[in-house]
Amino acid sequence: MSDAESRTVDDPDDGSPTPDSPLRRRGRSFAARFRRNNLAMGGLVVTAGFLLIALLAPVLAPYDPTAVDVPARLQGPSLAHPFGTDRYGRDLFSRVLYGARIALQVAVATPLVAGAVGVPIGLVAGYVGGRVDDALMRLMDSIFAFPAILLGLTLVAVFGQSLTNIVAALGIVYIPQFARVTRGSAVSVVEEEHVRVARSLGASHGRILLVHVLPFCLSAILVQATVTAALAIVLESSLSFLGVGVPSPRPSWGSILRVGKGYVDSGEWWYSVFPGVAIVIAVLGFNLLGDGLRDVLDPRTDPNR
Amino acid sequence: MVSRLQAFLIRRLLWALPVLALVSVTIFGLIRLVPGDPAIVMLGADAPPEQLAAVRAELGLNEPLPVQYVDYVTDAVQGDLGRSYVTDRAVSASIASRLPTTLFLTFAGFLVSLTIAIPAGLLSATNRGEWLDGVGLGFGLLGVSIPNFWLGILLLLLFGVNLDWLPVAGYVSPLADPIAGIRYLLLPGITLGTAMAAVVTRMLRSELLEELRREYLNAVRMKGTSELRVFAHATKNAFIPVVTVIGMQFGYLLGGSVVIEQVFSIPGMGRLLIDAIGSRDYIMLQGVVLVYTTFFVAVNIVVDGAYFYLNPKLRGEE
Amino acid sequence: MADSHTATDERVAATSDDQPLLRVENLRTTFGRREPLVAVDGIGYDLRAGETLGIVGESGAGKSVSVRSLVGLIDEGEVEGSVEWRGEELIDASGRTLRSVRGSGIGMVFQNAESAFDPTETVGAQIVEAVRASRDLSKREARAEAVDLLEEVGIGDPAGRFDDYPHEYSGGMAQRAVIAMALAGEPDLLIADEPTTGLDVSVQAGIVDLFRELVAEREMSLLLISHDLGVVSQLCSRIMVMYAGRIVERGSRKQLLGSPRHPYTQAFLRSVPDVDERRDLEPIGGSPPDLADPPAGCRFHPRCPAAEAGLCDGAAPPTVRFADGDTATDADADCHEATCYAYTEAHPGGDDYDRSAVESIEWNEGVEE
Repeated sequence: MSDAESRTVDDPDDGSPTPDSPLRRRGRSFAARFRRNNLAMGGLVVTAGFLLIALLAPVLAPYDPTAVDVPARLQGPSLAHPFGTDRYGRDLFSRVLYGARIALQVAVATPLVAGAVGVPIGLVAGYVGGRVDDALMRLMDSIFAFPAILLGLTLVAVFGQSLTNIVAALGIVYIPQFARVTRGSAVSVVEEEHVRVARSLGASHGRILLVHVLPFCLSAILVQATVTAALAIVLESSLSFLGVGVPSPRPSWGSILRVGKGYVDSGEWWYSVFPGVAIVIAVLGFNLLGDGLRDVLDPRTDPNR
Repeated sequence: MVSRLQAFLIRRLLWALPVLALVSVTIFGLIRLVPGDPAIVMLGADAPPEQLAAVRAELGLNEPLPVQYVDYVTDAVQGDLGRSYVTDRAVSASIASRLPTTLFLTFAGFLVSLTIAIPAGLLSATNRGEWLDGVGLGFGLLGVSIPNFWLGILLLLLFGVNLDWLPVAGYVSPLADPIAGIRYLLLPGITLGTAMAAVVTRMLRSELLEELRREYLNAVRMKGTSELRVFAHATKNAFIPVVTVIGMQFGYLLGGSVVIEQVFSIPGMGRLLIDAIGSRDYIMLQGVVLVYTTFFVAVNIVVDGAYFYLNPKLRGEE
Repeated sequence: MADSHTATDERVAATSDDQPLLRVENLRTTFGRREPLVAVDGIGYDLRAGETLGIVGESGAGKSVSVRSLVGLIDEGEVEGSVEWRGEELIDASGRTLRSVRGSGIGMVFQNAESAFDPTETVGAQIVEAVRASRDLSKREARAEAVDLLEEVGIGDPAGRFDDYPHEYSGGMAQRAVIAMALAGEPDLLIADEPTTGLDVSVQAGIVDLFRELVAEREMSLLLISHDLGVVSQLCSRIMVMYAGRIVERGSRKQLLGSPRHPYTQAFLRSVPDVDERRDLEPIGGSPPDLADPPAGCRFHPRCPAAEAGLCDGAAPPTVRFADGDTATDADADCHEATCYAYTEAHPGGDDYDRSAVESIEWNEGVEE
């Protein structure tokens, strides 16, 4: 569909079932710009790959990740075991593939949790302003001020170790970022015409926030989500490495590395290398995607804004 | 007559107190909220009753919660963070013996990161678009994508095991033996410092690029000065926001040190923290977290003060 | 007070009365490579010692860009043509040449304090930097000199003000400080780029007076850029009108204000309030052209009341010289010229276009558009 057509507004004859809303127009131009941005496309490819691997792990894995095979223990990379075997003879390739599943859950759930709390806080702070805004942001800053590891460690120590608890803990760690980012966008939108019009027409605050303010915060929130996904994967693997993460036998990349480190001296290098590479690839994908999205969504370079 | 800087610092201190209070209350509360009897959680259900009673007394569990908290705080301010039931040592003593180690490690990371980041950021900005910039940007991207503990393991594998140039584990205080101390701190320092370096590089590059477009630099040129002077002006200005980022990164370093201490088996506060979690030594946990928080709030205040000082618009007339 | 001006001294001796201080020929500044935008389209003029020349025009006409092109301040564009300062070519000159000319030969007054000063240093320190960049003085001497400069531009308590930061100066005072800094190198030519824009009218008057005094006392030449015709007419004996990167009319103040010839100049004058005469303001219809895709032929023709299809939209208009009488010399630099078809035979003409005043017409040679 050409650009000219996409600018048609409220024209029932243009063949589309509903009039072309501004949001739709922006959606189309967004897709086009996204495709042109190398970072974004690269990130999308890597992230999609990661997603597929995680989802298809049961199909792709040549072995059961928990299948112990003691005679085959601590073998280096080979055709049978491309990533080698661990101390119980389990195939590391399969374990790494399954590890992607945990990483994926973390990468998806953490931004959801953090956003579910952070976005409303940001919306309220940006919309209401004044003392409420100050207080909320002070609170957010206090949490944000904390090194993620320390916060995560402490929360997991208190909550206990399980995947749910860990996701909850990680989610809490990243709430302030979502709050800040949402508030930032909200503050700039709140002053705009359509919000004031809606208010004068008597729309309820909730409706205004949902329909008029939130859509304009979405791009910043989206970028933040990718950033958080990347950070969450790193944080979860760090926690697992410290022994405070997802409990075994679930093969989190971090926990594999935890054991693998013990074998650094004795030459079983594969134990420490491959899971780490997996982490880097997954994280890199989200980071590229985030950087690319940031470029694409930058209002300064968007001709349609 | 209080200068504006002093007034600002006082305001920040006043901000710091609620934060410390919030953190200590939260830790305090969370630990008390752990399901079940904290004493049993700590010692196990089949521990002898006298021990359980002793722990309960130690934790002050028989008192109302606010009283417990106040007791704790008053003790803490005087340097008494309680006594660990697991190690049977005063928490403050354990922390004090490990604190210098963690500080040295953090400082090493800080030093490494600035040594990399400042030249990298400057070069990247001045060679924008060229391969050097690409390298800088790539390094930046990679830096935030590689988990620091894995980087440490890789460095260990390469330099410690394969090449055997540097020690793989352990620590020697640089105060005791500078050369050995540095050898032991080199790999951990590089590991810690790299991720921070990536962030600072990115920030410095972007701030400098922005600054180089500013009009007043043309005014400097029109004085007949060299391009180097112009660059110096720009860099000086660009550094101001970067200082805040550096300060924020200190928080990252402190947190990262916990992990790095594990990787390189360095007996610092991080190890204390992990051990405390593992052995459910909540008294120790409380104390260690409190100390970390205090450090970190202190650094934040110093950084904010530095930013305030460097920015004449805020500093105003003295 | 003996001060040392190295190479410039020699050049002062070398300049004869005939050779202009600044000679600009065919200056052309282009931005962008894929869709080139020609901000300055082949302008040329002479500036003699002690002369005050003003360039007026709308925003975006290319005035600022043209003067920045003179001194090598164009970073992201390409500058072609010739700019000779005391006979020395400045375009594509070496860094050393440019540095020796800037400050001690040519000083520039920027639009406001924010554009001129580093916010993290005191005003005094920055003036000292300017002094020491062009003159060989010790720190103490330079400081004294800076304080003198602050006093010269009319800043009260100059010694106290020395240690203040730029944001602590009020608008007018800050502008005076900017001027002081431009004078620090004792330049022979002062370029002022919109020096009064953004100031209160009352403050403006003070700045204009200051310029007048400085030009007289220091015997400097002045190149003044402004969209404010009032300011330019108060300070400049000669005025050039720029439109869309080209000079459309030039002449003495009296000629230009008394008998403007180019339709744009006439329209410009009508759009500006006149203190003496009470009349309606007439804004110029239309909007400035897109310099990436400018109109063919005369750039003004889409908005010109005298535009003739087939004539004004073809090739670039010829340069028409007017015999206005009362010029001091016969030199090219003193003439009254406009680039307009309305004074040519092929044009029907009109009341505003007095063909009898035409002295000569110089046609372009198949200029590409």
